[in-house]
Amino acid sequence: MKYVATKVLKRLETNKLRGGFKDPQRTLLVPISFGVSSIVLLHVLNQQLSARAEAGRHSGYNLHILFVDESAVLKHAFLPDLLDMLKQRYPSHTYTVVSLEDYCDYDFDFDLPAFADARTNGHGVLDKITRFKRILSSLPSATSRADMIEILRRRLIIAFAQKHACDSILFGDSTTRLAEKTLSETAKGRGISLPWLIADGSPSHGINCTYPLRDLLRKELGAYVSMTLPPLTPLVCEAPSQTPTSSKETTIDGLMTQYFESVEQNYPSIVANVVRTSGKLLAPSILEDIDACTLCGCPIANMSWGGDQLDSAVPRLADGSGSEHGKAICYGCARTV
Amino acid sequence: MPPTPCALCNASRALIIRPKNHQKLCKACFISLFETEIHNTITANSLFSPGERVAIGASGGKDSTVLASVLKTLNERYNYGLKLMLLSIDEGIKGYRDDSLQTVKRNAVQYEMPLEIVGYDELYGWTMDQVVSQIGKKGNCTYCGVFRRQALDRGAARLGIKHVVTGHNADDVAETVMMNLLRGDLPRLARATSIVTASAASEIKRSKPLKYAYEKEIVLYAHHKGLDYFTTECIYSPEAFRGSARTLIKSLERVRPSAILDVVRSGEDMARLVPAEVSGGHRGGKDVIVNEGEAEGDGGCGSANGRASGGEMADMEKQLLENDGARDNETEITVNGHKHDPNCNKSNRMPKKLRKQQMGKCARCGYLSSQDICKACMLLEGLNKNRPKTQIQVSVEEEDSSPTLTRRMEGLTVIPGHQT
Ligand SMILES: [Zn+2]
Ligand SMILES: [Zn+2]
Ligand SMILES: [Zn+2]
Repeated sequence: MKYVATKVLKRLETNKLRGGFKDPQRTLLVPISFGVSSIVLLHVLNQQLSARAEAGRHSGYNLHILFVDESAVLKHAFLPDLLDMLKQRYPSHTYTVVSLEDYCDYDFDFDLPAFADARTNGHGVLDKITRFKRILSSLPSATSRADMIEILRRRLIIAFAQKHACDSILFGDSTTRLAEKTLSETAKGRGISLPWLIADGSPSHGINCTYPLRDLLRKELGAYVSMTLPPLTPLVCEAPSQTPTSSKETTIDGLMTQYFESVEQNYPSIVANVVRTSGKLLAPSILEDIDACTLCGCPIANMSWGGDQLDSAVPRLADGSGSEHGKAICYGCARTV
Repeated sequence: MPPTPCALCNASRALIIRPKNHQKLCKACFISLFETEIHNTITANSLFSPGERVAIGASGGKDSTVLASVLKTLNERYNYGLKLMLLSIDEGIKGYRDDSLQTVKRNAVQYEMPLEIVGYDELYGWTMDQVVSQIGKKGNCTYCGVFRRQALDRGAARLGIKHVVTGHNADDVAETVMMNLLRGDLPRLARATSIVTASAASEIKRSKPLKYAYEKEIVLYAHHKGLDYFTTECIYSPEAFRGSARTLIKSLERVRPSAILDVVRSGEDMARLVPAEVSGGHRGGKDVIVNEGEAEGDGGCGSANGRASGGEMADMEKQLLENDGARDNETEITVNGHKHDPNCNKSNRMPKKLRKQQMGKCARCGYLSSQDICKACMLLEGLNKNRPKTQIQVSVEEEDSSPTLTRRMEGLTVIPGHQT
């Protein structure tokens, strides 16, 4: 029990987010998905805040809880009861619900030619959900759709944090999840973005992102939720681990989840080692000036002959633009769209 | 239903679904595309210079046979002006190498290339069969890797050649990227992705022209060109990490055909993000990693097919747990008088002092080495002394770790790592 809390709080401390009593009150955004990890994170933070309040101490930070409703793309609908339960149990925080398709309200709407017809149907501007679904259905594979949903979710959270002047975002990713991401982004050709996507305090999009659960395995968090009093189990609503019905539905992200399920079982330290290893990579901006990708916002590496000539018989030698579209996108996103 | 026309020439009937992107192609277009891509790899990286003498590391397997065939074709088509030769290693593995060497001998005639064979027995006085009968199947890939690296260099030196090309393909590179993420070895990840590796430990440059070629396309090419190659894989056991990474790569390829190239791409990009203090070498210009340690090997015999016991993964797990314990107690591990930061990864655990050591010559065999006695001689000493099995076994999973090995030989307990 204590082990989990200690590891989480230690991470906050290292990232100077715990808030000393001299520091100004900070606002930390905690995106929740009702998965085990984000619920544990909220619980531990709430505990710390209550303990400080009881001791009559300066709380140091406020929590803004953000739930991204993905019912537009998920088979099962989101349960409003769950959010009410959460608010009852942890009443002292601010709660907001946004829908995934609300990304349209922020200024990172994509104007790639591939998505141009997603805006209108000839008669007028389409509603957000239809536009969003059109973009998804224009993508070539289940892997691409899952990738796009991840990108949009992340960008939406970051845009929300910026709009609401949050000081930091605390993501609930466990060690296991970060290891999955490391290999998954590597497999999707986004190795260059890893420092952006998994490192604490990464310079990503100008806001501090921190992963306080980075030292905890998914199975440890799973054990934790049933050990608290009362248990956190009723607050957790996870999509049953998707076993795709056909190979067409298999995604790279899904594959990595499966892979690390077994690695975590047999070699938990190797999972942690993957995260430590990828955490050593330097963020590219330190090395060179790099453009950001229109889609994922991550850096674009210089393109050079990479063993692939897709449609043309000419290799794309030292083509710095990154794509033939109006706006530059990264290698990984070029695979996705 | 009318036959599908080829997506490139639109004339002939498409007979091949290209593994890299599922494009439907006719046989002629596939072959010319495959060759053109390798030509692009060669020219984009300026791999060769006119008049250069190049040895092809030939095992008789599909990769090196296709490499020899394509290089011969391209050399004639584009006037590279190369003098190509075949260089083979005879590890002394009955039922595997003796048969595959017959294939190489036929290739030498087919491609009109001179062939040089260097044998472990003549170089070291031990065949791999003899090594295995002494140390058992576990960890023998270490011996094979160390011996092969030297043997290739010596073979090249005998031929007066400064450039050896090997048949590593995109699948091999992708696999190595994943494998080194799993075992936390960024320096090796970086080296595996660079198309050319030069090393202070060797006067011989290594390159991999098939770096972007898919294994499946290599097989297709060999099939459609009717090439003569040997299919049996090495009979001795592969590394568990490689086996696990290989399975993963194959699944990724099924989900998204471009994934192998994408992993290679990620690896290349990550190589540029490896901090200098971790990489243990310096960047020697575009895509060339100059390694101050000993030359990178072929990663064992590369014949992993996932049937390993998982022994090394378990070993590493155990080791990491011990490290974690040390980390949690905030203790410093001191080995051999050098302070070790328990937080630093195995790959940079080697004290700077050892790393910066001047390359000299092995006191026994004269081969370039950062130690007084080179790794091969060190392994040989162990073999020749006929040490008890347990003492030699501590060096499993090590390929490039002569300092660690040295210490082990001195009877010290050191955290196993994959230093290079
Ligand atoms: Zn992108
Ligand atoms: Zn054709
Ligand atoms: Zn020697």
